[in-house]
Amino acid sequence: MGKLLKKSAANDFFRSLQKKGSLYAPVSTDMVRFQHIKTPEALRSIDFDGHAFFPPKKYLLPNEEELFTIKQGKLQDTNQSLPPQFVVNVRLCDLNAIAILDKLYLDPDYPDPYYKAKRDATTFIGINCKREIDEYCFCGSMDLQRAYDLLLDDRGEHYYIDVRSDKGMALVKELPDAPEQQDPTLPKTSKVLDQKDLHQFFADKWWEGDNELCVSCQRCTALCPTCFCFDVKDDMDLNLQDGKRLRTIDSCHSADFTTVAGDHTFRSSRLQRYRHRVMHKLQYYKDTFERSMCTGCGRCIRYCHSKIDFVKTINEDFK
Amino acid sequence: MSTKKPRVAIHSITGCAGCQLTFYFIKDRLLDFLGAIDLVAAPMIKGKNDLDGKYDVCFVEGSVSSERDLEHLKKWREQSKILVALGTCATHANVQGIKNFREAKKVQEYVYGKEAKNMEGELKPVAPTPLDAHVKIDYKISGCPPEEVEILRFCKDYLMGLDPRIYNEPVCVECTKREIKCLLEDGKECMGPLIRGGCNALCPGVGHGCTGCHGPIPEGNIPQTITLLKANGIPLHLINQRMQKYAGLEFEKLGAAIKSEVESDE
Ligand code: SF4
Ligand code: SF4
Repeated sequence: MGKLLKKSAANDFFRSLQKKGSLYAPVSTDMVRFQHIKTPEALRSIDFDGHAFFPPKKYLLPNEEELFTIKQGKLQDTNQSLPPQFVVNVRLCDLNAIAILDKLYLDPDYPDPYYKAKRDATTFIGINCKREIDEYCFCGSMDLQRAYDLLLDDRGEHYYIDVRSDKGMALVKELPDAPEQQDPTLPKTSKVLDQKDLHQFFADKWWEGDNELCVSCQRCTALCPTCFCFDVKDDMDLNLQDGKRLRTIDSCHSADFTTVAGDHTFRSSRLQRYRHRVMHKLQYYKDTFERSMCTGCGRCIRYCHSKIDFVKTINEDFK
Repeated sequence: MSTKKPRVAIHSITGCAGCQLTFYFIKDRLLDFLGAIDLVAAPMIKGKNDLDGKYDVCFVEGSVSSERDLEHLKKWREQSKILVALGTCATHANVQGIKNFREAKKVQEYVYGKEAKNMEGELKPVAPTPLDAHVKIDYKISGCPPEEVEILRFCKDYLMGLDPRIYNEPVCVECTKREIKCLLEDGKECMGPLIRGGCNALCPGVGHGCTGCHGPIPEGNIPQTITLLKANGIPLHLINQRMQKYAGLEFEKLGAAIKSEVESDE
């Protein structure tokens, strides 16, 4: 099902979302960042072209979130229902990333209530890439799906809005129908990851070159739209009666992360940790869920201090 | 934990006393903190101190830079169940440690003049070293000065009977989470990849490269970080100065291979 939105009226549409809840959108300054668009005036700053530095996963898995609070030694009720929020101009790689996170955090047997509360309150509205954003994108080779409620597709004067769910339809029902359904074409990229069985390339020697360049800064994992690992810690007041339990995003590149009780470290070298990230993204997740956990957004290469490019390494050296 | 309040001491050897001062600057929480512990010795702020009794926790700031420092440190170790190195002087010898990279006599002449006599006795200078070069240290909270929040977190963990966790990730982590534009990517100078965070990327957050005041992370990739800095046009001797200032001997150990390169650059 498709709807039409005049480009000149895009802000009116976003304004209608602002009236329903909080609006978040990319804004371009020294970088592109997803930001809260609080006022009607601020709608003008919304960016339609750039690829955000930090992925929109932050609206579901914040850097730090409160799981519960304790007052006078007693557990407080946590309010699990949140006001609606809309995240717009999300690229297809990041929309697919949300679908991957949903698979993990909304698992029917073990749904995560904190994630679920945020997910239920959030609608992601996509925008289609008409071209690859830069030389780091390789989503064209990552089997992306039309995994969204709504997606804006540039058709000259208009955006064609591809509607994929009732939740999406409820937001655009006032807009005119498109004369015919025309599925947006998925982006193509000149950078392509060759699909290989990485189990064959587990030995250290395949990873040594990239590992020498890695400084363990964890930018790759923080910025990956599907990296979801976390740490849990308690933050009590000095009276030891009041406090809160926090969940913070963490990284498999951290030595502390792989260290468990009794001071045992599963992956004690940087090489093991680097390899684990790439293997988990491209192979281990696929072994269980049939698709890769990577959506080809390119962030882990684009923002790596050393521009370590696992796509290049796998394509050219793993043979 | 027993209901008896822990006996805490805050002691000092060679340094600027800024670490202790940070302790007393945990402003709105200081009274809560003092209520939760028994501060038995803190010569900087107290007139009456228990200098010889047992301590549950003893915080020591400063580096071992004289014979007297060493004597004190050994005594405090004997007295304390838990000994905490507070600040980058205590964890890495910090600014005093720069002396280790210069000729001791020249340093002395520079400061005290050519005529000055050598100091003898307990004030006789020794090569500045971090505390763990001499005694076992249970926890290290680096920083020049350390962060209020880190000191506080340590104390709260301890009071709860937990094994306090010290944040151990490079500055880049907090920088990225705060969505700060990377200074290295911008062609500027920043020591972030080598330096322990915990500061919430204070300096990069205001557009200033990290100079390294928290000292090095345990497994920093020195050669690659130097490659990155050099690519941004930062001369080796400057990188070397930064590392000598806060990472001191550890840098010496880790970076031996590049030392000759640095010298030829100077
Ligand atoms: S961004 Fe690059 S240097 Fe940093 S941890 Fe990841 S792979 Fe290593
Ligand atoms: S692994 Fe890299 S390219 Fe793939 S989704 Fe994560 S950040 Fe993007």
